[in-house]
Amino acid sequence: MAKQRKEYGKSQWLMVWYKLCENKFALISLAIVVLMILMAIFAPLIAPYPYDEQNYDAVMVDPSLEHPFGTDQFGRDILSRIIYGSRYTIFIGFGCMIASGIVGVTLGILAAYYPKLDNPIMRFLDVFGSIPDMPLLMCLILIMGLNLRNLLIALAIYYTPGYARITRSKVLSLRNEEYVEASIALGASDRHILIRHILPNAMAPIIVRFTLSTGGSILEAAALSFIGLGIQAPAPEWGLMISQGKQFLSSYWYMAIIPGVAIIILTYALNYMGDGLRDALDPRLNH
Amino acid sequence: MGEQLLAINDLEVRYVLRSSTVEAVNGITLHVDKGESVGLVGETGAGKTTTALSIMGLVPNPPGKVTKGEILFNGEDLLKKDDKAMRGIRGANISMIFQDPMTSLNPLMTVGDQIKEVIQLHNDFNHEQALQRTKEMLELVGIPGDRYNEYPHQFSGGMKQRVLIAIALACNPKLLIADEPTSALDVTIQAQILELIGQLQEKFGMSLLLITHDLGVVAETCKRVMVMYAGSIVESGPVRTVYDNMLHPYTIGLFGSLPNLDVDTDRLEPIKGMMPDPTNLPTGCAFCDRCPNATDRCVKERPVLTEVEPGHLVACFHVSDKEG
Repeated sequence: MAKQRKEYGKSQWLMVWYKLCENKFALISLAIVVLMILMAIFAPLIAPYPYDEQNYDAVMVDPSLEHPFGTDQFGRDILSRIIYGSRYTIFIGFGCMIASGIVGVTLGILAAYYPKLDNPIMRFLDVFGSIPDMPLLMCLILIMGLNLRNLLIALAIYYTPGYARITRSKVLSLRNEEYVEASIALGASDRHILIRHILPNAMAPIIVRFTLSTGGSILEAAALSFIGLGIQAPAPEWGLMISQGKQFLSSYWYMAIIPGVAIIILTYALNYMGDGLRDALDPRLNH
Repeated sequence: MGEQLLAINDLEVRYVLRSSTVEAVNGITLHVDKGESVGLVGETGAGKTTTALSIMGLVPNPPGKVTKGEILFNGEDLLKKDDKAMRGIRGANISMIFQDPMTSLNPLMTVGDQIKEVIQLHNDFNHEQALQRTKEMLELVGIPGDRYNEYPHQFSGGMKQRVLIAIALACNPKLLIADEPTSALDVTIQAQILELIGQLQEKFGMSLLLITHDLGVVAETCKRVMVMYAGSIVESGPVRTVYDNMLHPYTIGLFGSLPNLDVDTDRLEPIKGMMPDPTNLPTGCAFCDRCPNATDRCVKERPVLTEVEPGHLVACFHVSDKEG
């Protein structure tokens, strides 16, 4: 193993990849996430029907070879709608993760590293943290207006305080580590220390937060669509599809259950992938 | 006496807390010559580390503040330099080795990268040159260069301290401050590390300020020693002179509390009492509460460092009166 490590040592990212491969759950999850992303990108090529093509000859048919997941009350193919719907879901999930992650982590680091900024930043974020999620999201969306971009902004605002808080607490403890002090004593600048020493060491909880909040934001978006404040019909968003399917739950259960299962699979995969990634990024768990 | 590399004049450092002020360093004056190794000895809380941090410009502020004095390095006052200028000096001209090698390395970076980092901070080396230099430094401290890609957790404590020494010396500093470099290591490794520091110091002709509470370490490594007590230097001089003819009661007490191989005793003789509260130092000699020879004058007046024999300075009325 030692010899192997030296060979691979040339690229730390290669090492991370090898370690990720040892974790079967993480690898399967990664594959699922990648497949979902590919599915979103190549939706028009994969989907057997356009997502909005109504076929009144085949309204609410049960799953069959022609329509693997059946059709809805307008005769639209549910499989095609799931495939197209992944575009919305993945866009919202990753968009929210990246936007709130960048803003939240930056604010958290600034608050922890510069004591003067601590109170202004954190108290401002506490305002958002003190309102329950649904009322906050509903207010933000109603203020800004109903569309995909604003939905994304609202979700990003909602998830930012969590990132900031978790980053701040981690950085606060890292700031007093001796290797940070040693780095200052060796003439490194604040920026250098933050990027090279503090951020990598703070990454573990942030990555977990990344995956949890990606899953969470997908669920929140679905919930908002469900109550009519998210993506609007006829767009094939998964949450919206559950909402539309719920009235037929007793007779045509698959209309609501199938998009629900799709959400569950993606969320699970993201969480397991995050767990595996965190373990792979820590050289101390190198066995 | 050689040329002075570092000269501290009347340095005073205070930690201002909400309800009190800690008088950490009280007007110390010391110097380190080019190529010289000086030991700074004292018990915990004597202000040794604060002195070192103020040389580096790293006294945590707030609450710490240098209230008086100057620190001349190559004739330039470090206290007047701005952050950017200090960053250029730290690591390149003055380097520091910290106490605990276990926590002084970033666990997520390979040791090689951590050495390379300093080299690239202070030199315009390209990747190849920096890598070359890093491997040289590793070999220099006795670690095979091909362990470049290993992480700190794969090294033992003594090896980590070697890596830290390599980091500190990577840019050929003129002054190395070693803050209790061997306290966290076991005795056999201590000797190796001290020997290594001594060798490298000679090889590069740099000056060494060794901070420790271990008198044996000083005897082994340094030419000159300064004994610090409650933020002041109470005795200083060449190691041989001070060790053979210690004059300040605190120094005598320190040596008295060491085990002696020649005499068979069951109990060691500690210095009675505690160090005075640094937020409330006595007006007179800081040691007077614990001193066996204390008189009224000791309580009222603070003694100053006085030369009692060439190079040997003591801050005690009894000694200076007797000699003078």
